[in-house]
Parts: sequence; C-alpha cells; structure tokens
Amino acid sequence: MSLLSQITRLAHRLSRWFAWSGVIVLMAGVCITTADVALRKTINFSIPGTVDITQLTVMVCAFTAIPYAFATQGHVAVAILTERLSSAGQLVAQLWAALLSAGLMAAVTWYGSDTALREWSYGDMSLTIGIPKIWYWLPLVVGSALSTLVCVLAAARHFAALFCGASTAELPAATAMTAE
Amino acid sequence: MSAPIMGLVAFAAMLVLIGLRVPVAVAMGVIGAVGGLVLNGADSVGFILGSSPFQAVFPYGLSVIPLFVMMGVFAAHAGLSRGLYDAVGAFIGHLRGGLAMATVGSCAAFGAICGSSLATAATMCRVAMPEMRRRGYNDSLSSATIAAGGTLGVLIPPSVIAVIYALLTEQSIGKMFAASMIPGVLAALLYMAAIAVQTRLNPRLAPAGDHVGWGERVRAVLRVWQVALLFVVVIGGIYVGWFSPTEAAAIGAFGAFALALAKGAMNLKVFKACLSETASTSGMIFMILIGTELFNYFIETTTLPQLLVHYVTDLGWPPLAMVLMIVVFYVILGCFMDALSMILLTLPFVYPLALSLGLDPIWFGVLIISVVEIGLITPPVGMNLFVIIATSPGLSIGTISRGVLPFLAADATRVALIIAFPALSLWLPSMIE
Repeated sequence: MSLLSQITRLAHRLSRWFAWSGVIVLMAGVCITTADVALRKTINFSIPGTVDITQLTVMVCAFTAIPYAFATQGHVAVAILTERLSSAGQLVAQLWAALLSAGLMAAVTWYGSDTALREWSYGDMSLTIGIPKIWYWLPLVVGSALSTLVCVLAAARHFAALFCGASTAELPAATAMTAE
Repeated sequence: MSAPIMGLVAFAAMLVLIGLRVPVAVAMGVIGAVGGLVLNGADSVGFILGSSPFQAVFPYGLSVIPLFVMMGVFAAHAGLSRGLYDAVGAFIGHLRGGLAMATVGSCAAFGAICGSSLATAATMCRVAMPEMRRRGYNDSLSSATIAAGGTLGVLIPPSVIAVIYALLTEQSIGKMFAASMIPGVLAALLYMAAIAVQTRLNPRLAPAGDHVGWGERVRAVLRVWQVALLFVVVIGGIYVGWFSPTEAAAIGAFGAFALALAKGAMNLKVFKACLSETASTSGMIFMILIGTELFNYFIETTTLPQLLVHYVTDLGWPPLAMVLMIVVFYVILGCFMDALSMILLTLPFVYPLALSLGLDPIWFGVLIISVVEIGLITPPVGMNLFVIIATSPGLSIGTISRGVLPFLAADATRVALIIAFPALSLWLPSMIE
C-alpha cells in the first residue's frame, strides 16, 4: 500500500474517532439537559449553565462531524451531470471539488484561528457559568484543520489517479460525494 | 459591473459549481467568500471567514438540529418500525392494498419521532418491502409507497427542515411544528387514497390480506405505546410550553436511546452505527449552514434580493399567481437538488418576496416544505428513490419512477389544498400563546 493510501487511512480513522467522540459529548449534553428539565419540573431546581453546556456540546459535535462527513462522502453534492462524463472527466471533477473544499476549509481554519486567538486574548467567557470562549473555538479550529487535511488527501489521491494512473479503489473516496 | 449583477453572476457560478459535483455547502461557501472578496475587499472577507462558521453553529436555537437528528437515528435503530408496521397493518392490512396503506400509516407514525425523510424511508423499507413482496404486491407500487411515505418524515413534526426554516426566518419552532401537523396527516390520507384508487383500478397490483381480530389489534397497538408516549412528550411538551424545542429534542434523543436499550436493540455495533450516522448527518447539515452563512452575507451586500423583490412586485401579479410561480420553481428545482440545499439556497430571495406579498411566514414555510418534499420522490435525483433502490435488490429506477406518479398527484392535491385553505396550517398555531 502506498504512503498516500496509508496516510489517508489514518486521517479517515482519525476523523471517525473524532466524530464519535463529538457525538458522545453531545450525548452528555442530552443527559444534562434532560436532568435539568426533570429536576426543574419535580423539585424546582435548575442545573446552572445548561444553555452554555449545550452550546459547547453542539459546537464540539458539529465541528468534529464535519471532517467525518468529508471523509465518508456525507456532504450533499449533485452527481447527475458528472456521472455522464468519462472516468477521467469524473476524476477531474472530483479533484476540482476536493481542491475547492480544501481551500475553503483552509481559509476557515486560518481566519478562525485568528479570531479564536483574539477571543482568548480578550479572556471572553460564556454568559452563565463563565466557560472560557476558547473552548467553543477549539473544535472549530481543530475540526476545520482536519477537514482540510482530509480534502487535501482526497485531492492528492484524485491527482495521482488522474496523472499517475494510481487506483482510487483501495480507499473510500473522501470528496467524491454524491446526492444519493 | 454593478453589485446586483455581480450577485446574479455569482448565483449562476454557484449553480455551475454544484453541477460540477462540488458539494453544495462548499459551492455556497466558496462563492460567498470569493464574491465577498471582489465586492468588499480582503479585510471584510477575512472577518466573515473568521466569524461566520462560528455564528452558523453557536446560537442556542440551532442545538435542536443535532438533537433531533440523534433522536431519529436512535429511533431508527430501536426496532420500532416493525411494531408500528404491525400495529397499523392489524387495522387496515386486510383491505386490498392494505399493506401499502399500512406502510404509509407507519411511515407517518415513524415520522412523528424521526425528523428525517431518508431515515424514515430506509427504516420502513427494511420492514415493509420484503413483507409486500412476500404477499405478492407489485414492486412498482410497493417501492413507490415507501418512497412517498418516507417524505412524511419531513412534514410531520419533529422535522429538521421545519426547524431550519423556523430558525432562518426567525419564526417559532413550536408554531412551525403545529402548522405542519394537519398537512402531514392530510398527506398520509391522500397517499392512502392514491393507493386505494390504484388498487381499485388494477386489483392485480395488490391482493387483499387476512382479517385480524380485535384482540390482536389491541395487542399490536400496546406493543408500540412507547412511540406514542415519546411523540406526545416531545411535541406536546413544546406545544403546551413545558419546555423549549432544544429541551424537547434532548428529551426525545434521551427517550429514543432509552427505548433502544429497553428493546434490546442497542449493542456496541449498533451504537457505533448510531454515532456514525448522527455525525455524518449533523456534519452535513452544519456544513450547509456554514456555506449558507457565507453565501447569504455576500448576496445581501449585493442587494440582489431587494432588487428582485422590487422587480417582482412591480410586475403587479396577484399573490396567488406569485405563489404558484414559486411552487412551480421549487418543483422544477426539486428534480435536481435535495430539499435542504434547495431551501437554504433560495430562502434569501424567496422569503423577502413572500413577506412583500403579505403571505403568512408560517403558512409559507409549510407550503415550501410541502413542495420541496415532492423533490424527494421526483427523478432523477429523488433521494428517497435511491435509498429504496439501495435497500431493495432487483429494483430499477424505472420501476419505482413509474410507481410514484399517483403519489405525485396526491402531493399536487395536498399543495392545492394548503394554498386554497390556509387554515389547514394556521389553525393549530393560532392556538399557541
């Protein structure tokens, strides 16, 4: 197996574990919110900061899920026109899609990091229980960076397949997403 | 080049990118960023790229999305679909085409705890398709019934698309859910009517089944009481103001997980599948929201939406003609795009237009959701059709496409009724304080 394939497998595995942990964090948020409602309705006691915690768990879940969706063709795309192209034409379209995805996610990572560092330096905190805002930004920065990596690897694979005749069959496509 | 023209060119460029298989979210994001760069300069785009992805996910109201997704995923894996199918089938399975009608009924019931059309179609397909094939039902009718029934997941609350519409247009999620309740039930009844008419005209499509006694009917219903409880708690809780939509969604996700555990359906393998499915769907939705945020920022600075509204209102067409034009536009677009992308892509233009025509935002939301739902079963990219083909060996796109025609007629009837009688969607929300 080529080095590129090995790195791609590793990145996909990383994105899967990352996404799973994000959903487990969201489940923790579910338990806290459910407990908060139950306690509020029964003994009139509210868990402080439930809104802050829920927002944090959703930030974690969303930005850990996005690279996974890139890695598993989860993002919606319309394949109705490109599937009529030759295999080389389809590879070009996939390469193009992967490059644009990588470019967008790289820009989000770059500017997101910049804003996150600024928020950190200001010492911003959440409204109710004072969770440092940087904790909300970290998933965005890490998730966007991982998305960029997954998309760059997809572009590299499509490039290798197009110009070096390498096979793309041995790995799941990372950015060859379809509407179906 | 003036800003509105630039907006038009950017919109066309985005459609080209989507046609070239660039993910919809990425196409919107890239065009938003590049357009913003050209129109507003690098500093502005840097600021937007640094803040929009955060703002697209952070608001508390948006928390409801992954929670309802999670609820639907756990419900789909909890083995509830079989029980629902048996319960509805016990009452109407003896009629000619009764199993197909039971499929629609159980899709509606399943849609009441699962806000996703694809999940509803995929889950019910595993149960209903083998059963209808075993009983000698025509493949075209069976597969199309499941595809059409699956769309009820979008309309019957809790619906993820209804939540997104409500959040983007700053409407009450509770009112959107209440507004789509009657149209959802109406959709199920019209689908059943479509099946009844087909099987009456061509009895070979579906044989009649065996009659089931009242004892068995009661037992079948009692086996799925938890589903009714979950629906009543989640939707009823929002309706009467016991808790917020986010809290309701969290309770729903917790309840669906508890149900899966109680039914013995949850093991490590299923749990991992649930995690993957929740992540994949949530990641897809949030990425589209990020793309939308970037695109909308740019398109609003071009003033194109306002210009479009002025242009269309200057035409002086009556509101009904405008509504019909919007419906036709969405039906055509639905042949090529998925429901969520369609709504997010067009709302910046269509919603201000609806407001300028004096249309009720809640009624308009239900109408739009009803129409984009049709796109789920219209070839060539009706996503429900592909889900069913993928889970039913030996089924061709031609077979299922022929079968959906009567259901499309039912959809057209429903849309016409919603337009003719706005009270169908506005009566229940009017009861909410």
